[in-house]
Amino acid sequence: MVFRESEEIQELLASYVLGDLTPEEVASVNQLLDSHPELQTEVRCLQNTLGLIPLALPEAELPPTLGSRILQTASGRSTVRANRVGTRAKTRLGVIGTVAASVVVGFSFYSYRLHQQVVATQAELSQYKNAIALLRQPSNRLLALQGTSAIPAASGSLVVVPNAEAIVLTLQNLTPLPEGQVYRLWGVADGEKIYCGEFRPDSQGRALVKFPLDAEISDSSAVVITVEPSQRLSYPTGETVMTGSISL
Amino acid sequence: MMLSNQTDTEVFQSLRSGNLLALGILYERYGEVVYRVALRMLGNAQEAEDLTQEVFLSLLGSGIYDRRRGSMVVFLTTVTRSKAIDRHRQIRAQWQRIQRWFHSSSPESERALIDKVALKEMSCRVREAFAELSTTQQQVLEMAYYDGLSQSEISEELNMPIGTVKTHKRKGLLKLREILQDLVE
Repeated sequence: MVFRESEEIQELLASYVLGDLTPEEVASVNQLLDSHPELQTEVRCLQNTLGLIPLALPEAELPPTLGSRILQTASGRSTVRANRVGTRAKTRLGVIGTVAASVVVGFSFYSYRLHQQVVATQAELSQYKNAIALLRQPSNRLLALQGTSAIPAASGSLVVVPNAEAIVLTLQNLTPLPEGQVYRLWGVADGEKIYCGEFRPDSQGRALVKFPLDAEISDSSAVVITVEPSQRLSYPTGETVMTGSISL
Repeated sequence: MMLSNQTDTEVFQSLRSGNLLALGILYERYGEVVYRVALRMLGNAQEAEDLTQEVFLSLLGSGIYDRRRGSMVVFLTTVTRSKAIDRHRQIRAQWQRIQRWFHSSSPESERALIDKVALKEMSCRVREAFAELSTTQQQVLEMAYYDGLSQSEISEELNMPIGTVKTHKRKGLLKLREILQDLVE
């Protein structure tokens, strides 16, 4: 093929990108691109132009839970990979993987929501970054938490981070509480309940909180979450809505 | 630096090293655009959701995004379109070429990322540019892009010679390329 005008080449490349050429024409454009590599830049620009066309579509409203579902599925896949690491540690890794994955997903939701609120405060984000850093500590202990018959759908994880003397709690499917009530986390040691901290979930029933780890609490073999009035009492009075015991 | 302030390429690399937060950030940046394309091409919300999920999960797979090949938004709209067309079992030769183009490994110069332009602003620009095309140019490009129709199918549907369809498509694309020059180069 002989091209006298650059315009002619442009048109040919446009049709090439649009997939409108015959196989013979495609072959000669491929030859042309081999002999004139600078034209590949033009092909790329045209490809980019084509790829931008859908931006002209009206903006759509994303289904509210889609992001969460994608992250959940993604974390499930990571767990599968973790399970393949080795046979000896398989079961153990699987359990840790699942708990860790759900914690990571918890953080992902948290991060996502923060951004939705137009990154309200940098402080909040750095807090969450700190929480992620905590999760990477080597000697962490993990507990899975499950709702009692009061809120059977509630679930989540608690990570004890001895190195940082902290507890990180991430929960989902909690029932939102009326004004004047809070959820409280208690460690159970020798049959006694020790206060760890209190929190309120967001409107979607999720919570991500960090509490200090006291020496007493680190001896706990189990934890419970109760619903309490917001004035501070040193012992639980309300219904136990979630429980978890140290299994790892 | 905080992940949310990083470029798409950095976030993508973070995802490749196993950080699922990075997936959340990419979703936050581009979930809407992917869903927008999926909804237009598949025509119903449920399928569009499934496809959006498929597109983002595909980012967990083998190394596919190469910024030297174009911006993340172009990459994602291209992948979305590919998968939507797959779903309709209408894979076109043109489409295979685009995929080859994304998978080929010939070196390209490093370029500024399009992602520094806010997506909303970019959508606005593309909308305005698209509105400058003639009605026929818009129509043939939409039929080819979203419905995956071939020249002869468009020709039949619009009762227009194939050569004319081809000319409208080409001129439409070249005009967009000219108006959007700074975004696509």
